[in-house]
Amino acid sequence: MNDYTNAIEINGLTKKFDGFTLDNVSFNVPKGSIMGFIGQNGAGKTTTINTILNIVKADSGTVNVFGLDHIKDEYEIKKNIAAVFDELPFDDRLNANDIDIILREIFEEWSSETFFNYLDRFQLPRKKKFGKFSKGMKMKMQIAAAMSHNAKLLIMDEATTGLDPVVRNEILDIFFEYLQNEEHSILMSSHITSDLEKIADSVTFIDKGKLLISGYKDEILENHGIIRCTKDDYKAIDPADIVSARVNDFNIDVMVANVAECQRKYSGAVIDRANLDDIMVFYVNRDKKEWR
Amino acid sequence: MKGIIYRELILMKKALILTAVVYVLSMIFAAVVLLAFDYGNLDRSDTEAFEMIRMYSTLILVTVGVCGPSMGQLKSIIDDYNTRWMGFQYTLPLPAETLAKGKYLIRGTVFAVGLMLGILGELYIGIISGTGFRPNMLVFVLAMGIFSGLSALEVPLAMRLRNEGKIAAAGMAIGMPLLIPFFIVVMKITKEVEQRTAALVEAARAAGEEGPVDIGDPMKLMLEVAQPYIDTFRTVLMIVGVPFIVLMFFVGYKLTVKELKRRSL
Repeated sequence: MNDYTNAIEINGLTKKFDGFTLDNVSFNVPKGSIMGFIGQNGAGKTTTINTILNIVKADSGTVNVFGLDHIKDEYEIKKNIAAVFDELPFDDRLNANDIDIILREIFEEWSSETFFNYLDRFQLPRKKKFGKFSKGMKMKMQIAAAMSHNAKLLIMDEATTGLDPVVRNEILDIFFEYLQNEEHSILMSSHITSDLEKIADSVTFIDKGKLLISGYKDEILENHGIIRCTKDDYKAIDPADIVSARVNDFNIDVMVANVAECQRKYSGAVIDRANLDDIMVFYVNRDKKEWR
Repeated sequence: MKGIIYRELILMKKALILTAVVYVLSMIFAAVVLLAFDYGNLDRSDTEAFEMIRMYSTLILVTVGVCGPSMGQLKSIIDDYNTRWMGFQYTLPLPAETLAKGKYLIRGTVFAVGLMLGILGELYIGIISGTGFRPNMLVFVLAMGIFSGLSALEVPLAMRLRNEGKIAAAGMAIGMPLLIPFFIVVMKITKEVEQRTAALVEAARAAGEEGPVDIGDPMKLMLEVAQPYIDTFRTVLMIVGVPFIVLMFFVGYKLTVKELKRRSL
C-alpha cells in the first residue's frame, strides 16, 4: 500500500436519487484519527458511506481510500477495511464459531485468537445462535468481527444507535485502543453526538445531501457558540453572524459560527459553548433563520 | 471463496439434513410397501397397483434428492437480503465472480448429488421390488436433471425478485414451455391406447363375444405404446441434457455476476 496522509479523501462526490441528491461532498479523514460523521436522518450519511465502500456508484466525484482509487483498487482497499452497520449482517442461524470459520477464509489477516479474545472480553457465547442475541450483543459481535482482521480503517454507520450507555462506553473504549496504532483510522456516523464529542478528532456534518461543516472537532466547538439574548439584543446582531435563532417565550438563543469575533463585536453578550447537538439543530434550521 | 462456500453450507445444513432424513424415510416407506407385495397382504398379481407404487417410489426419491437441497439454497439467498448480508458482502475483499462461483459450486454439487441420489434411488427400488434397475426410470431422473438445471436460474432470479412466491411464478413461466412437448406426447399415447383398446373391443365383438372384453394388462398395453416415445425421449435427453444443464449453469452464473455487480440492496 502506498504512502498516504488521509485514510479517506472525498472530492466532489455527487449521487442523484429520485428526491435526494448527495451534492458535491468533499472531506478527508486523516490517517490515525477518528472522524464523526453527523447529520439528521436522510441527510446522506449512509449514501456517502455506501459510496466509499463502492456499494453505491457515484455519479461524479472521486473517492480515495489509503491513497488508492476506491473502484480501481477496490479489493486491495477492502482487505484493510472493516465495516460495521446498525444491524448485524450475519444470519440468525449462525454463531460466533461459524463467523470465525467463514471470515478466516475471507480475510488474509484474520486472527481467530484476536476474535475469540474480543468474544471473551465482551462475554459473548461462541455457540449461541445470533437469533438469540440482544441488540447490544449483536453490535459487540460485529465489532469483534471488524477488529479481528487487522483492518486499517473502520467505517461505522450508526453502529452505536440504540445501544445503552454502558455498552456504548465499552465500545468507545475499544475504539480508543484501536486508535493507539497510528495506522488506524475510523469514520463513524452517528446520531449520538455525545459519543463523538468524547472520541472524535474531527467532525463532518452534512444536511440534505450538502456538506455544512468539516474540520477538527475542537475548532468547530470553539468557533460555535450560543448567544442568549433578549429580543431587542437580537435585533442588534448582524444577520451575517447568525446561523439560526431559536425563539423562546422570554429570550432568543442565537447560534454564531465565529465566537471570538462575536465576543468582540457584542461585548457583554452571554455566549455559551455549543455542543455538537446544538450545532446540528441550529444548522438544520438555518433556512428558517428563526424557529421555535 | 472457501469462506463463502462454508457459509452457504452452514446455512443449508438444515435443508441438507432434512433432505437426507426425508430421503431415508422415503426409502423405508417404499421398502415397506413394496415388500408387502411379496411378504405382506398386497397382491403382486395386481400389476397396475404394483407398477404404480414402484414408479412413484422412484419418483419420490428422485424429487427429494434433486429438489431438497436447492430449496435450502433458495431460502438462504432471500434471507441474505433480510439479514443485510447482501450489503455486508460488498464490503468484503471478494469480487462478484468469486461470490457467484461460491453459490454455483454449491448449486452444482447439490445438483450432482441429487442426480446420484435419483439413480441410487432407482437402483434401490429395483432391488427391493425385485424388478431390477429400469432404464426407463432413468428418463425421469434425466428430466428432473433438466428441470433442476433450469433451476440454476433461480439464483439470479432470487436476487432480483427476493420473494419465494414471485420466484416460483417466474420459474413456472420459464419451465412450463418445456412441458409442452411432454403433454403432447402424453396426449398421443392416450389416444393410441384408446384406439388400440377400441380395436380390441371391435375385434372381440366381430368374433361374436358379448359382455366385458378382456383387453389384457392395461399397464403392459400402456408401456407398449409409450416405449417408442420413452426411447426417443431418452435419446433426446441424453443428447441435449448435459449441454442444456451446462448452458443453464453458465447463464445463471453470468446473470448472478451481473446482479452482484449491480449491487442493488
